[in-house]
Amino acid sequence: MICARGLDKWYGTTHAVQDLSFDVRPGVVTGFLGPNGAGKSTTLRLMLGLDRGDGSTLFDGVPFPQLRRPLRQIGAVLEAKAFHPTRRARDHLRMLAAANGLSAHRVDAALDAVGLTEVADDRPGTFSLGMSQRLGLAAALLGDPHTLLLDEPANGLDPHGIQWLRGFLRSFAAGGRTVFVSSHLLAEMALMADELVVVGLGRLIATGPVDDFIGRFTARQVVVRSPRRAELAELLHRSGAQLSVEADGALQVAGGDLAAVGELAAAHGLPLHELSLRTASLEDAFLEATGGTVRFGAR
Amino acid sequence: MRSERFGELSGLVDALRLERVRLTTVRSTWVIVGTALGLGVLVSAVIASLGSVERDPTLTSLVVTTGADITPLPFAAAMMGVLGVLSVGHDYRYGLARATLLVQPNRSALVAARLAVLTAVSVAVVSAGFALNLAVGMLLSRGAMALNSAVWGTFLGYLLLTVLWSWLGAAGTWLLRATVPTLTILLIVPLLVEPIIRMLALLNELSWLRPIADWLPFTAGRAMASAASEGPGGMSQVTAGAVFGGFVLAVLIPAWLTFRRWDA
Repeated sequence: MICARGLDKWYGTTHAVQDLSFDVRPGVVTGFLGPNGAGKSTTLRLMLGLDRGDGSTLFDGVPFPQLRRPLRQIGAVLEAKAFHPTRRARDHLRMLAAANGLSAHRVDAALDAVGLTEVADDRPGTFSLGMSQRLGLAAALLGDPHTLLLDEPANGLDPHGIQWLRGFLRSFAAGGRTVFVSSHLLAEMALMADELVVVGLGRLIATGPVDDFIGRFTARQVVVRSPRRAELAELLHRSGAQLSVEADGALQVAGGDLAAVGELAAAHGLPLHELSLRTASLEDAFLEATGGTVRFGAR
Repeated sequence: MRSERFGELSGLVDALRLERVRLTTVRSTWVIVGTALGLGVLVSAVIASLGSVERDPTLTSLVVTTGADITPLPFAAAMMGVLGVLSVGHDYRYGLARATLLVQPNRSALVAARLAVLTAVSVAVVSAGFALNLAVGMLLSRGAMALNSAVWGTFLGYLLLTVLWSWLGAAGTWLLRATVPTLTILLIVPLLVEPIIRMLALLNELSWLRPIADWLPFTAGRAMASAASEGPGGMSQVTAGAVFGGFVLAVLIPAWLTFRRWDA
């Protein structure tokens, strides 16, 4: 369990993170979303005690800087290419493992877990971004931790790599462990995350289950198609529904109730060829929620 | 209280393990160590070949210290300074500082461990250099090598000087967080700035410079490894050690404080 309270950080005159509080529960994957410049990376650094600022973050009741051997409790990856390009991948992990009293056996296990065993003795200067991400993840897994904090781990991964990462993080969380992961890839986050923490301009915008977030920031629509469209439209209009007509002739009922529309049609003997609920995507909800908080955007 | 102390101590031991693997698993460390030993032997061979047939402790001191007393830049010391710069500079250049803090958040332990490992490498290099240079000297000097207390004193001064240089390199890089400016300062000050100040101080118009010229830190550093009773700058070994050591501490303390407060 991660409890962040009152995180706050100024860079000169820029208030990068503003009184941010949230919880990250074990057993689920929690996504950390926000536009560029929203303060996600700064928040992660504050949580891990890398940046000086106000507020506190407790990992199962203990602040990160007070952990004696943090790899055994928390694995974190904040940047993909944080390694010396000529130090062999295995030696890079051996170095980090040594700082936490972990054996060479754990190094091999971590390399195996991310699929880098074959290139363990290569120099990572030649690694692709995807392989670098895997090496970073291997470092985070060295101590078999119960919590993972990952900043944009899907960057540079190919589709197979992304699918592997999704499966890995979901099974990691399913084992009762805690996963907090930031990403710009909203479609991927929609598949990966169960809960969200959404920030904009350093402030908390929303926190909670993904479906709740989508429902809160987008209107769902009922799509109905009938050969007697004009009569159905008249009925819906009289019942107070907000209607629009799609290009292919289907009727859209904004915020409508699926059952109510069906019952109304049945009561008047109108045949239906389609009656479906159209929900918005995470991307739609994200754009709606963070539209006013974009710090860097093209005109 | 006791468990806190135990935690700090074990944090230091863990940091030492990390630093040992860190320094020994990059090529640049071995290149620097190899260069320090190889070129050191070459320079010592040239010095030894100039020797007389009589046993000569001054020549022996020059041979075992690679002529630290007569060259503007003490060779092994300068190389260990470069090692200190690179060992810290790589952290900032490749984002390793953050990765390291994620596995060992105790920043003071990391600083102490880095200095301890640099000390160990410096001692190993100077000791190995002593043995190699002495062997080469014995071969080439036709019996002029003589070990007495003065030679040992010079060697110890050179050893301490080398350790201080490695600390200075690391401290300068913690302070500036960049490799090139630190290396530039570390080489240009002893090679150009201090000799120019000493030369200018000889002019009557700039006589006010003389008290400053007497206490220049890198000149004092060279005097630490001087075979003469008074080294460059006219200082005794102990005074020279105090001046250069004080200078290194004056850089190291703000560097440590800066690293402790640094937003990674």
